[in-house]
Formats: sequence, C-alpha cells, structure tokens
Amino acid sequence: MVEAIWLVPILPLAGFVVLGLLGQFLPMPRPLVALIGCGSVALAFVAAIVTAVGYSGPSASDQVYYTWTGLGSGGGINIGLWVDPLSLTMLLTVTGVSLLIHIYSIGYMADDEGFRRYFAYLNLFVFAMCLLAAADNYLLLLLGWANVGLASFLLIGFWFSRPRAVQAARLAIVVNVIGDAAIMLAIFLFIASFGSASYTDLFKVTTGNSGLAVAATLLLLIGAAAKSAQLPLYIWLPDAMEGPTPVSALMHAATMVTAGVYLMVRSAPLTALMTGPDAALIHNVIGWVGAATAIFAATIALVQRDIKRVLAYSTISQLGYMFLAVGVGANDAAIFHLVSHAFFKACLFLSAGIIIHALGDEQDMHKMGGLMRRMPLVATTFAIGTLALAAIPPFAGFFSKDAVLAGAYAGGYYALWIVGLIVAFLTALYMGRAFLLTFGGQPRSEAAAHPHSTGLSMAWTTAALALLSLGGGVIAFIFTDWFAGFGTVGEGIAFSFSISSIISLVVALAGLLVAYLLYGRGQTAVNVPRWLYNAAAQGWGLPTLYHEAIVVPLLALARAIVVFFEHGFLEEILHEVRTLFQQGGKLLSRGQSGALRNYALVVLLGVVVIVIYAISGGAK
Amino acid sequence: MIEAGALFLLGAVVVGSALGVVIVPNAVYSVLFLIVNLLGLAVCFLLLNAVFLAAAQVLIYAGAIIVLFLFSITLLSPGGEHISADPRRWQRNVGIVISVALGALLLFLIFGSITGLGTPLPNSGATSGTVEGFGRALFQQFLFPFEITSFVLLVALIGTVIYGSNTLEDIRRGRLPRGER
Amino acid sequence: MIGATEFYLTLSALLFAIGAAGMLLRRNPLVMFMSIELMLNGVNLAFLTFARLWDNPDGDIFTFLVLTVAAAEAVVGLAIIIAIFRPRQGVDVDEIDEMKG
Repeated sequence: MVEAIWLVPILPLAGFVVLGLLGQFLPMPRPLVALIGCGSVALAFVAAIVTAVGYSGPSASDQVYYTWTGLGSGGGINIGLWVDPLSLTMLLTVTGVSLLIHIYSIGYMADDEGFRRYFAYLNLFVFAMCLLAAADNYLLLLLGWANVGLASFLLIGFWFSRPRAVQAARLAIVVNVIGDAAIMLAIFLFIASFGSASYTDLFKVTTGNSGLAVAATLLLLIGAAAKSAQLPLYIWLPDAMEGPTPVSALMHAATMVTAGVYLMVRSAPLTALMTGPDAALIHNVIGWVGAATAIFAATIALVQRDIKRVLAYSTISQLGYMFLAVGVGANDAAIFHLVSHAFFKACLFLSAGIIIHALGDEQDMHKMGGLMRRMPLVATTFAIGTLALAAIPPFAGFFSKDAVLAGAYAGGYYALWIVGLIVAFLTALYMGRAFLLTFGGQPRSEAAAHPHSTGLSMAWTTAALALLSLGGGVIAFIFTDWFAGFGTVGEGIAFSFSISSIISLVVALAGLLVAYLLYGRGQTAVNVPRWLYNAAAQGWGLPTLYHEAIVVPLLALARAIVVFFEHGFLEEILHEVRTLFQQGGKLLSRGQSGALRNYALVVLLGVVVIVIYAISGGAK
Repeated sequence: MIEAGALFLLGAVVVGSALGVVIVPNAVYSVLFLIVNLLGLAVCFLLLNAVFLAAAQVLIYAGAIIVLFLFSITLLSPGGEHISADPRRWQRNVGIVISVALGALLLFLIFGSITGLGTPLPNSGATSGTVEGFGRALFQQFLFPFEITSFVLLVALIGTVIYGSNTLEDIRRGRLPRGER
Repeated sequence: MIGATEFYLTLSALLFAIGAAGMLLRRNPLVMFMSIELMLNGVNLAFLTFARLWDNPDGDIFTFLVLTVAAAEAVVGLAIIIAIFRPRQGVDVDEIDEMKG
C-alpha cells in the first residue's frame, strides 16, 4: 500500500512534538521517553516496509496531499511524497538504521541529563530526513534538507556546556547553510525557467536547456558537497564528532551526510537535458570532486589518533566514492554503496561508542590496546566493520565498492578508476591500523586494562548492524531490478567477476597486509618523515587556509565595523537623539509653571482662538 | 428719551461695578461691588421679562453666594493686593491684552453676525418668559437636566458636610475638620 | 420697558471680558473666584437675550441651571480655597505652585 508513505515522516514528527513540547510540561520517566522515541521510528520503519511491499510497477507514484498555488501563473508547489525505488531505499535505510541506533542510545545515554531532549532531536532528524528523501519536489526537499541541518546543529552541540561542541555545531550549520543557499538558487532557476520545481514537471522536459541544466546541477552539487562533506566544504564533519557517538553514527555516517548523494542521484535526469560536451563536463566535475575528496580524506585518516576522527575522515572518503560513482554514471552503484556503507559505518561507530563508554570516555587510540581479549564481542563487530569497509568478500562493502570501481572502468574513466584503487588501498590500511591499535598488543593505559562492561541494548544493536554488514551484499543479487530504476548509465549491478574486481581485491588485501606489518606487533608509531606526518595531520593545510583566508578577515571586518560605526558613528547619533529629547522635554516642562494664573491665561488664549475661528467663518 | 437715558444708566452701573470688582485692591470692597453688579443684572432680567429668574438671581446669587464670599474673605485675610504690584509682569501684560482682545472679538462677533439686531426686546407677544412657560419647559422638556442638577446639589451638599464634619472628639482635641487635615 | 438686542449683548460681552481680566490679573483667589462669577453672569444675560430674540424658553432654563450649578460650585470652591489658604500667611495664588515642572 503505497498510500502508507505519509506515515513514515509523520510518525517521527509526532514523536518529536510529544517529546519536545509535551515533555516540557508533563513529567516523563525515562522508559516512556525511550518508548516514544524508539517506538515512533519503529512504526515508521514498519510503514516504510508496508509502502515498499505495496509498490508495484516501474513507474513512480506521486502521493500529493496539498497544492499551494502561491506562485502566480504557472504551477503551484505540491506537498506530496514520491514513491519510487530510490526514495523507498532511502526511507528503509534511514528508518531501519535509525531504529537500531535509537535502541543503542537508550543504553549509551542512560546517564545523561538531556535524555528526553536527545530523543526529541533524534526524532526531528528522522522526520526531516524522511521528508527529504521522499519529497516530490525540490522545495519540499529543501525543507527537509534545512531541518536535517538544524537537527545536526542541535545534536552536535548537544552538550552545550562544552565550548568545543558549540563551536563545532556552529561550523556545521554555517557550512550547511552555504549548501542550502546553493540549492535555493537552483530552485529559483527552476521556477524562473519552468515555473515549477517538482520532479514530474522538471524531468519531462527533454531537450534544449543545456545551460540551465548545467547551472542547476552545479548549484545542486555545491549543496550536496556541503551536506556530504566533500571538498572544499568538508571541514565541519571531523569537528562534528564532538556530539554523542550514536549521533555521529546516525547522522554523520549513515544517513544525513548521504543526503548529498541522494540529491545527485535524484537529479540525474537533468543530465539528459544537457548536450554532449556539457554532460561530459558535469560527469567529470562530479567524479573528480568525489575522487579528490576520497583520497584527501583517506590520507588524513591515516594519521589520526582519535578513533572517531578516523571514522569521520573515513566517512568523507567513502562519500567521495559515492560521488565518484555518480560522476561515472553508475547511480545504482552509488546508492548500493550508500546502503552498505550505512550498515558497516554505523556498526563501526557503535562499536567505537561501546569502547569509548567502556574506557571511561577515552577516545585516543594510543591509550587503548589489548582489548581483543578483554572485549571480544566488540572486537568481532569492529573487525566485521573493518573488513566490510576494506572491501573484503563476502562482506557487503566488497560488492558495493567493486560496483563503483567496475562502473568507472566500464565507463572509460580510467584515471578515476586508478584513484579509486589507491583509495581502496589506503582505506584498508587505515582501518587495519585502527583495529590493531585499538585491539592488538598490550593495554597502554589503566582504562584499557580494565574496561567497564557493556549494556545489553548497546551490544545487540551493534551486533545486528554487524550482521547486516556481513550479509548486506546479497541485496545486490536479490533486488537487481529494484536498483535498475536509478537511471544508471550503462549496465546495472549485475555482479560479475571482472578484472576490476580482482584488482581491487588484491589492492585491499595488500592494504591490510601493510597495516599488519606496521602495527601488528603492538607498535604505535611508524617511521615516516616528520613533515609528511604533520602535513597530513594538519589536514594538508586546508583548515589553516580557511582560518586565515576567511575567518580572520571576517573578524577583522567585524571589529572594524564596531569601532567605526558603533563607537564612532552610531553612538554619536544616539547621543544626539537622547540630548534632543532631553532638552525638548526640559523646554516643554517649563510650561508647567505650577501657577494657576498661567494656566488660566492659556485657557483664555484658547477661547480667543476659538472666537477668531468662529468669526472667520468657521465650520459652516 | 428718558428710556434711553435710563438704559444707559443701567448699563453704566453694571459695567462700572464689574470694573470695580476687578480693580479695587481691598477684597471686601470687591464683594460689595459684586453685589451692586448682581442687582443691576437682576434689573436687566426684569427688563427682559424673565421674572422668575430675576427673583432667583437676587435670592441665590445676591443672597446666599455673596454671604459665602463675605465669610470666606473675612476668614482668610481682609487685605488685598493691587494689579500694578504684580510681580509677574509678563502675565499681567499678556493678560490685559487678551482680555481686551476677547472683548473686542466678542463685540465684533455680535455686531458682525447676529441677525435680528435692532429688535427691541422683549418681543411683544412673546410666549416665553412667563413663569408658567418657564415651569412647563422645566418639568417637561428639561426634566432630566433638572433632576441631574438636583443630584449635583446633593453631591455638593454631602461633600461639604463631610468636609466640615467634626466629631466631638476632634473638637475636644482641637483638631481641624476632616477636610482640612 | 424695552431695550435693543445689542444693548444686552454688549453688556454680556463686556461682563465676560472684564471677568476674564479679573481672573488673569488678580492674585487673591477669592477675587479670582468672583471674577468667574462675573463671567457666568455675563453668559446668563446672553442666554436670556437670545431666548427672547428667538422666542424660545430653552434659554431661560439654561440660565436657571447655570445659576444652580454656580451656587454648588461656589460652595465647594470656597471650601477648597479656605482649606488651602488657612494655614498660610497671606493669600496669594502664585504661592501654590507645587505642581511646577
């Protein structure tokens, strides 16, 4: 029953309203909060399944609920939800992974003051993400998009008494807004040219608007890059790790950051509007943005000490892979990688969360070690996630990453293919390093030697995600037709052992091998030139560049304005105004002499005036 | 001829006594001039055939109100001051100007725009002015204002009583009446 | 006996103006009050004149009402004046300026 789709965003919204608003006035015990928070998402997941089951046929179904005709002549804006394989995939992934993470959070946030607030914000996020994924026009998508950014801001800065968290939240929202603005411009372009921003209307026009399509796609790319942390707008994602770990898992690994990829895939029909050379340009731009980001982030991940930051940079890198896939036209591979990445990255983050929790909020890998014996369950889940991310069969990551690389190779984008292979090597390397530093060797601190035990809810949800990472690859084989609806150029994901898959497998194994050689026996440091290490650790100078080129001048400008305008100019004016009023008041108060006779004088003066008025004709 | 002269005399009395009220320094003399003024006005009323009102004027105004004034003056200070000794020169000068202007303007208004000037009054054959006519109007058309006015008098009465009320206690202790504390 | 309309009206205008002068120029509050009474009387005269001119009893009634209210007003006003000036030396309206500013 496709009509059930409206429940998917509405149920979490209801959860948010109840927890956020009602919860302010009525006392809510924690079990109730957990029930409402997780229950709303669980029901949304069920609704998504029901909708998916009821979906039949290759064409999409547009569920329109209300049309706003405020655009004057031309179309209106619908409030409607779009049912097609792409949106259904997103909805299922979002609600499914969300559900597991919500349950995990019950254990992770059990001691926190803001329990109710946390779940309220999470529900808000799920609502916005579902809205974004299922909207049937760009404006409604933007609504979800912006709210996802809001939820991100609220959750990154969840522990708002920490200055670093607040700064990170601010950075996130500022960068996100850049993307929002770009998307808005794209929408303006659409409405100005076609009078509508809905998918049905826009994707019907087939030719003749190449320039517009290019411009719009580039703007949408900017928006997607902001949300999905691609170069050069990646800078907010590593700092976003200041938020609680489940938040990092949900938003900054599995779902929110993938919104950019979704946007690109959804907008793929726009490429059909472009003429030949323009289309090739766009493909290359998208592909290279993805590839450059992937390799950039992978190198930085290699030198991080904080386990969450390794995973953050890894996410940026994998998102780059997805953009690469879109660039080469392998949209189905991109979405497939999105889904499998959601599974194993969430699994990795949740495992990391368990470790951090058990070690008393320790996140530095150099202070871990030797946890293999002490926390076998987590070691297993983390290992599964690592192998999936490194693309070793039979884990899901192998099939999805291979699909991306195969698409690049088949499409003739050999340069991108090579970059992709290099990144695969680096990925295996840094993940191997992370695993070995955390779990291998001997404990390097007191906390690592005696970890606390794990809550049940945290354990089994992580295990569930590990299983998904394990078996997720079968999705490709079961649902081939499903994925075919994503507008892929060329062949679909029908999996086959091509030369590309063999090479990528070899590369991945090589990466793991090198990792073992370097870190396998408990070493923590590697002999690389100091300057290289520092450069990578500083993000190849990009954060410093942003600071010097953007932040510093802006602050200087702000200070100059304060000095010049406020102190110099405005205060003068305000002072004068104040004096004016004061003197005026003093002047007027002299009329209040307190003497009776003066008052009488004034009254009679008035009488004289009236008489003159009467004489001179007055009101006839 | 004699009529004209008599009227002229009446007018002179009225205006002259009015001036006297305002000009003489001694407050008691002012009151006496006021009495003359009021009586002159009563004569005017009679000439205008308003018999009842003439009587009311003498009884109420020249009778009760003047008595009140005399009491107040003797209570406060019988002395007085003169216009020329006014320390607020500005007030004095402007005041004179305004009063003269007012008078001039009013006269201008009268002679400029009132129709029916030159009509001798009272009109012959007039229906108003008789006590009967007055009474009818008062208790028919103007019943409501009449009642309201009586209410006003009541309020004034009550106020004054409270104002001047003195319990035995207060008198024994030598306190001022309540209104004056 | 008879007199022309403008005679009475002139009288009333002069009374009014003289009363106004007295209000503005005298400092003794009682004399000021008396000037007010002068003004009221001038008005009464005007009312009556017009009543006769237009053969309308309304003017008579109004004069009567003015008379009555003037009486009540005189009572209350004098009480207040006495209350204010009794504790003081000398009667000068200019001295009571506590409402200054």
